Amino acid sequence: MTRGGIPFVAPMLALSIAGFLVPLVVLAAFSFSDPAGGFGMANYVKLFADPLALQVLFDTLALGFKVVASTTLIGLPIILLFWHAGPRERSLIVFLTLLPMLVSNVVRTFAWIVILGRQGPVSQTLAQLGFIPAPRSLLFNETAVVVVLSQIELPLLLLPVMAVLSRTDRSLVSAAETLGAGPWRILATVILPLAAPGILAGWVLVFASATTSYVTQSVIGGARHIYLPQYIYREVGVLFQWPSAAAIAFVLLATTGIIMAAMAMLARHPRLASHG
Amino acid sequence: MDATLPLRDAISPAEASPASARLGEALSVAGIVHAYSGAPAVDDVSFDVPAGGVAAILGPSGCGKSTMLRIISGLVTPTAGVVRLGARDVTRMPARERRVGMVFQNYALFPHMTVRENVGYGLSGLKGAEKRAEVDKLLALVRLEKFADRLPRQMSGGQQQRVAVARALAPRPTLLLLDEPFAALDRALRADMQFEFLRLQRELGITTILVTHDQEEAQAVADRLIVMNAGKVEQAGSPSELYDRPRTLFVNTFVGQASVIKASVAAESETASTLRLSTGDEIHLPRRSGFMRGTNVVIAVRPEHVVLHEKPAPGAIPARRMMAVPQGPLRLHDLLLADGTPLKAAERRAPGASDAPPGGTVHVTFELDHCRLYPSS
Repeated sequence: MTRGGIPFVAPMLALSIAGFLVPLVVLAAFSFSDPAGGFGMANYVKLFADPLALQVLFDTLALGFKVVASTTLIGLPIILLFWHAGPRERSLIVFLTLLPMLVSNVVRTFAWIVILGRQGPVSQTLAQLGFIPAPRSLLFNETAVVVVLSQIELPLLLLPVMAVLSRTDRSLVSAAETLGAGPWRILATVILPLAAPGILAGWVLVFASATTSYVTQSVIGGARHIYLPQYIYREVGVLFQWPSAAAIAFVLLATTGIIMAAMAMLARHPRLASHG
Repeated sequence: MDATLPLRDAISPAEASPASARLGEALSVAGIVHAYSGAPAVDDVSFDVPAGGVAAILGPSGCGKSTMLRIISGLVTPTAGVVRLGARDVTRMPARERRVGMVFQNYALFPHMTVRENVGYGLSGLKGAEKRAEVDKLLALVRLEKFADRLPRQMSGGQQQRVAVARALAPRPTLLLLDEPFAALDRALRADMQFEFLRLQRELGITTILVTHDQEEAQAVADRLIVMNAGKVEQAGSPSELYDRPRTLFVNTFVGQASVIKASVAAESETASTLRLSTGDEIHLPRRSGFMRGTNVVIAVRPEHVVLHEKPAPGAIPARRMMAVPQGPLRLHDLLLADGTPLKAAERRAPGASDAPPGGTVHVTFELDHCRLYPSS
């Protein structure tokens, strides 16, 4: 930090400590207490001994990776379109990317209930075309959660990548062309490596957002398919097990934190950090 | 006036080692027209560069010189015209098949690749040790052997420029194009890099075209200048030809300096002519002006062809001295004629002479043999 910078960060620092660090410490203290009033690792031992809890943890992380993979697949053509577009088309693409973010996640989630429901356009079309014998609800399974989360989180992947690409010099592609590289080689050796810092930043955002999106997970996934956020809610709201809920919250925080830190460290690689 | 040492004469061909020579091919462009949208950026451009020659396309920004370079490299396909490399018509050949080396203005080095990987990018046909050896050879050529494992951002501007040259040379092109190659370097380094570049060019014998807006640089490096303005070639020729016998007013003022004085032809005969300057003074040319009596013309005078007199002399025009700056062996004067026309003059500076204060009046005559007349636009 530049010397003399403390006064400038002090308000933010105070807010972070009061609003984030203190509650986190309280939560940590909670997670180490047991209902009998003692203090120890009992909640964590119980959690890791419970096959259901482990399954939910695994499903949650898997959901994060699936959403990351699916947004990447959907996002890549949009990223390439952005790269090749002129300045006016680029602002249009950014605008269209931002547009869905103007609508709340909750509203978008409920819109998807209509789309994927029994009377929704998808189910009706599939039935009319004979792919399924009769219209049925497409909700309440993991695929539906991945599809809906991909739509909701896509801007989080696209925006950092677009930011990196709009700062990237297009003459790099011209240089590769004059050196004899064809379009696929240019994509693999120039465009994607240059976009990599943005892609990694986008992955971190999408992963964090997908694994913790309580509303979408519970509304689209239903009660049979639960993930850690709902598991925590069940512990608190139904079973009143505050200490064990705190422990689960910490496990979620730690696992997603480790994965995100790994992605962020990858983005700091000297070859990637040189730009972006 | 022009103190730039012509570098191309400072390097004798004897220094060139024929061992690594890869002879360049002649380039010929004819009738090139290219429009991005609406007005053509390049309009009917034709020129030739002989095999092994160094040509500079010179012009102000927006004159179409960079577009010409992109057309020659194959990055842009012209609307009309023919690009010929050696005996081949390459007009429709895409850049990646054309084997024309290009050094971009900002060098366009791949920031995520080391110097070795950058230089090796165009050597996709080679593998392993063979490729390594070839990259080492190229790095030795630009004297960067020790920097193979650096990333571009860890190098200075001059070193980056040499990496860009080595990378462009890797696929063994017969033609090398450089877009403002020395513009990003500071002045002292620029001369070194120009010298270094010419040494390399001589050694390889590769045909070279560079684009620049800096006429001193063009004169120092190239043996052929192509002056472009507003999408057209104004004049092409050797640097001294363009300096001594500019065909248009634009070339006269762009290559070297020249002051422009408005005048009209007052009298015209077989052997002499009289011009009435915008100040009202008359000057007598010992030759035909080539214009009809009464025609409005402009006179272009280079600073070294203006003669200063401290006292009124026959035929001399009074001028006010605005500024006098010593520059090496010369003193440069900024003068103002009676009607406000600016005039630049250069005179030999006597060693130790004190600089005359500004504000005084001087009297100027012109070396009339060297003044050139152009129709007034």
